[in-house]
Amino acid sequence: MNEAVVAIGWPQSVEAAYRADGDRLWRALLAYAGDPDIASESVAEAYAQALRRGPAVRDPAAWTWRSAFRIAAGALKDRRAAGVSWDASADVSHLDRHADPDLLHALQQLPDAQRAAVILFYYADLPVRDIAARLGSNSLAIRANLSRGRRRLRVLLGDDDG
Amino acid sequence: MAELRARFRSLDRIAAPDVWADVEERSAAAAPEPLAPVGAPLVLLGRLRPQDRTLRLLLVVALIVLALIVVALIGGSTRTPGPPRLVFSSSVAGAGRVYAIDAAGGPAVPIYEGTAYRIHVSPDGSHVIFQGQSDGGLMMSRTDGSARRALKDPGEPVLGRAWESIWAPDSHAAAWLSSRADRQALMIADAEVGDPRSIELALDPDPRLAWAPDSVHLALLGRTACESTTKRITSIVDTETGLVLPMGHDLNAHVGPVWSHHRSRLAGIVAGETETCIRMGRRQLAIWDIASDTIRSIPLDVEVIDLAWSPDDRTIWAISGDLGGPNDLRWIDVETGEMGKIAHLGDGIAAKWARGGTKVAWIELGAGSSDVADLWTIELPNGLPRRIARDIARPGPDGWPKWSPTDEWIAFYRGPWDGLPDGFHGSIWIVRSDGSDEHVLVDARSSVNLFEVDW
Repeated sequence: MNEAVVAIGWPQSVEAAYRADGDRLWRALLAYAGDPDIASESVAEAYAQALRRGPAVRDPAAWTWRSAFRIAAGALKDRRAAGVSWDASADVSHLDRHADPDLLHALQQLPDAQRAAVILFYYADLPVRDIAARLGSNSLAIRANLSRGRRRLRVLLGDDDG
Repeated sequence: MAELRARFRSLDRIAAPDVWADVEERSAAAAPEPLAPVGAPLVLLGRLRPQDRTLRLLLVVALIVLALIVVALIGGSTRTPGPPRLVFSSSVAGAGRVYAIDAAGGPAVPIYEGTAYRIHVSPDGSHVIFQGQSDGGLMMSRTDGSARRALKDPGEPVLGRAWESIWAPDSHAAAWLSSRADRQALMIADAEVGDPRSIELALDPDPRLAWAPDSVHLALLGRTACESTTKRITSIVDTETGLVLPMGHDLNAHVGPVWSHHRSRLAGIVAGETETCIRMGRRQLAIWDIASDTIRSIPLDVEVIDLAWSPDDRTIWAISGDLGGPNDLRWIDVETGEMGKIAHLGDGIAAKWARGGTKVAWIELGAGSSDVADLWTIELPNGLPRRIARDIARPGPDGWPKWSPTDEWIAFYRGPWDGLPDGFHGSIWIVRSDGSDEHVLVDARSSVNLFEVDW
């Protein structure tokens, strides 16, 4: 990414980053927020902010993930403040018959921090240090959230085989 | 774990919408948000008309506030003489800056104007190497701010994986991997001389580097991706002659490699569960004897996340633990394979070995909390865990705690850590390893953001 910034200019490098990574970010946010609209809104706003800020963004890939998760967290907070809870019946399985609605539903039962850590670990395949960077946290807190989230998720999914 | 990971992979079957048009629309709709240079208010002040008195007054006040912020940032305490320099990258009103500050106090010395990251200070504290984004390459400077230069490869800015720069133990040079076009080279820059020299490599991409204690030899070990079965060849590089000696073994270590003090052996942890995947095979401590080119494997029944050699090279000291689980400090006899527990370090810790290898500092979360932590140390082989700082509210970003080069001081972070995308607002504190003389060194507030720290 840093090479791309130097070689092809900022707007092009942000679009290249979006083309390479935007879909995964959107799916991660869908799993996090349980809402396709929040996922789309967060992805669009994060990349738009990256475009506006220009090369001052130190690590565009990490920056957009971190910003998108913060935007999604804010949207979830607003929704809760408005008294709107996640509707299990309005799951996103209609998007694809192969999606795993049980997993998406179970994820919504986790606290926000645990859910984000689990998604980035199991879906984005990131090591703990990178998860910490992308969530604006630290490895210590991520390890704790990951451990607790994984335990809880296994119980919710009835998956105790480790 | 494999089952859970497979279920998450089903997410890839969900079609994500293309929102790029929305991105461009939002970006175009918003006014550009250029970085405000520190001098911008001065320029604006000069352009004001005489009748703009209120605005002029506001700008003057803003300038004073900004100056106070900078003073707050660079002002250190003057508690105790002796400790070395600490280098940190920051952003003041949106403008990147790198400073060095003597832990004994005094003004911060500006080292670089611009966004910088991957800061590595030499073990003797005399030089710093970092990547400057505006220059697109590695920069090296003395920590007093003098002799700054851009490192070329050769004739071109260093790009690629230049961030893996590491210093020789005697601080005479830094080495890193430079990946341009279709070649990969080991780059070595002398701290006092000009542009770096390169040693061409015909090895796997992205190996791990480990300087030998003699500051002449480097070990290169393959870093295998999860689930890869590719065999990785380990090599030893003589940095004086440029000779690359491929060895016959595949020491695919995910922890280490760590050189023994007498430069005869390398230790690493192979197989077992890592943070991102499960490598096939039983967890083992691999001890590679370089002279005989043989590897001795010691099976492990615990996960090891970090290790160090004892000063006599007879024992490996290891930190064991699992994600968020209990962490112990253990000893492993290299000859007999016997092992035992030295001390329990707590659950879910972030630990760092001191450079001398006989002390460990770690941050332990408070029970049931992700926000409150304490700083602990232990001295090997016979010390006991000792809490030296309390209530490190919300442990900061990665890399903490930071040992000073002399192992005398430990730097840690206090302050809000709320996931700011652009650094953190808080304070850098230091404390002696015996728990005395704890004090704040850098206090970032308001529009000042801190990024990386090293010393």
